[in-house]
Amino acid sequence: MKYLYYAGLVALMVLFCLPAGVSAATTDTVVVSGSIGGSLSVDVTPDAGVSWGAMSGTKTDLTSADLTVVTTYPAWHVDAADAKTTNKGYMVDATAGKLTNAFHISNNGGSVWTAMTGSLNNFAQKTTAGAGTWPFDIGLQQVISGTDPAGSNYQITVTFTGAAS
Amino acid sequence: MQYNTRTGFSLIIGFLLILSLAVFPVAAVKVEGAKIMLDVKPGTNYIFPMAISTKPDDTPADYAIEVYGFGQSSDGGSYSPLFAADDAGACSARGMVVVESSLIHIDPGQRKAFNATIRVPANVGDGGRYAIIHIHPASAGNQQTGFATAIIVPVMLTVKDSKLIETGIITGVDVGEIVAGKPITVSTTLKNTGNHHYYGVVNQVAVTDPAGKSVATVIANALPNAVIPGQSVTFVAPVSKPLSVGVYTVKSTMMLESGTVLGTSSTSIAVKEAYIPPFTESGKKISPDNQATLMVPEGTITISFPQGAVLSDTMVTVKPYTGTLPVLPPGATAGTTAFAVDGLSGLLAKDATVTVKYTRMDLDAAKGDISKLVLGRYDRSENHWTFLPTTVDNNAMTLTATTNRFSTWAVIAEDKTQAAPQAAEGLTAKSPGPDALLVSGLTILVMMARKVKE
Repeated sequence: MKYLYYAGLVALMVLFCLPAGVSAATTDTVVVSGSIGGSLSVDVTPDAGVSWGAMSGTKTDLTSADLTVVTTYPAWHVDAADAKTTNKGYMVDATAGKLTNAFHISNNGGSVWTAMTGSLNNFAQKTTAGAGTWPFDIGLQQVISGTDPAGSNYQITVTFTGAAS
Repeated sequence: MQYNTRTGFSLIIGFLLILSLAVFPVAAVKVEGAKIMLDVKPGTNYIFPMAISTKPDDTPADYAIEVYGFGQSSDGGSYSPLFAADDAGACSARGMVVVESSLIHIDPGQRKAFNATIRVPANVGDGGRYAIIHIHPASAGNQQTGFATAIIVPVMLTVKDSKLIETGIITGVDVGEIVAGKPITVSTTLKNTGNHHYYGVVNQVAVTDPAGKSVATVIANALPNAVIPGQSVTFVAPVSKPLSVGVYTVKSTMMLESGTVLGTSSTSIAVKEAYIPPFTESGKKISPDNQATLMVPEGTITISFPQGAVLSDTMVTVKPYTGTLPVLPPGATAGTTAFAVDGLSGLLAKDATVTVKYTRMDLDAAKGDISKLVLGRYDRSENHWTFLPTTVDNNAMTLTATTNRFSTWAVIAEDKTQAAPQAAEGLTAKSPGPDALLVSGLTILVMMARKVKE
């Protein structure tokens, strides 16, 4: 019994000492790598989002929100979209419904605005030599129509999705 | 009273407890092992280690980890999840990829490791197999304008020692509207008809005149994303060469960087009036000590800065504005000439003079009435148009205005019978006009007079 116990302990120690690289076992299972290679981090600030208070006129914000990509991959892209399917791209209040005009974002300081009814593909992109830390400004815009009902809680969440190319 | 106080405290504690337990989408996520690209052997399982983490100052979050088919947006070829119903291709690896958990809870600053297991069937067949692991917030946000972050992990498997087919077909070549001052966009859609992905696809567009002579060749940058079997990606090439009236042939050739041609396709375009391409983007360093003139090579836009206009050396660039202009006020119509001036963040110390050559299409926007043409400036930060007092030179076909700031500019046809947003430089929609100031001044005088009388 004691012999079996020690044998098991030795076997466990041998297992722990196995090299962490690619290893094929007899079960035809391959552990690809003991350490994880590339990483991709997508960070949008401020974490609490942007609050515009009372909604009237045209709300534009070119300075509050920032995207930072930190990665080891040389080529990557980040797309921006409203993930919801109903009223996609619109600020919605549970009681008052959606605003007349779609929410827009810009990746070039407000020169061009893209409605979030679709997605802004390649909001940020690096095609070569993209490993590193990359900051980007996010422009936000909402035009409020005179016919929009008063609502105290119009909301939208824009999702920034990163992918290594 | 004691009951009320106790109830109040209970409610506050309950609310704080709920807040502490609440899970919101986090605006920062890091994924290690964010791309799975492997040569795989039939009948073998692969374990690919991954990890997800957030920052120490993030809120707790639940992330969903789901396996989808490999989709691509036609616009730029971005990778996107493909639902099972749309993922019927022979090259799908959706059924081969399993993640340990479909939901991971992350506490602030926490890192959680997990494995993606890829089971390659013995009879997997030839070529590549593709799937996407989508890591995204499991809950919706509740901020007025909130942010969430997600990661798409492309899974690209190549079956070892199998026959790889890298072929494609052009399914369409479309030429956009031909407008003076805007590039002609040629959109070519390529579908991967093979069984393996390829990187670095290049679109070459050649324009030939009716006599077969080449008038323009555009080679777009190589696509950084792979084109996946079964997926279609549209490549847009801008053509910016002058074209005289006639019928032209536009030939698009899609090729790999190695030179292998995937497909060619042609279409014809009719140019009904001479096409003037957009001007060339130009820049100039402006110094405080000297007068300077920034003129585009085509001579269509000139900006003159007097000595002392800037306080320090500043690089100013002018480039064509090719996007959709912000909504104009009622009664105003945009011509086709639009441009952006960048590099100056504040106001000029002395006004610059902007001179723009208007086109026949600008004049068309004014229905031929040259007196309606003005230079319009859209202030991005203040979010409104200002129509500047503009001098029109009929003979030189130019519009001239002075300004102390730059942003997006356009030639505008203004119907002066309707209320204009602003008629004078320096006045904004929010500023009181001269009449308002006069009325305010008189009111104050009357009030002061009454006070003296009392």
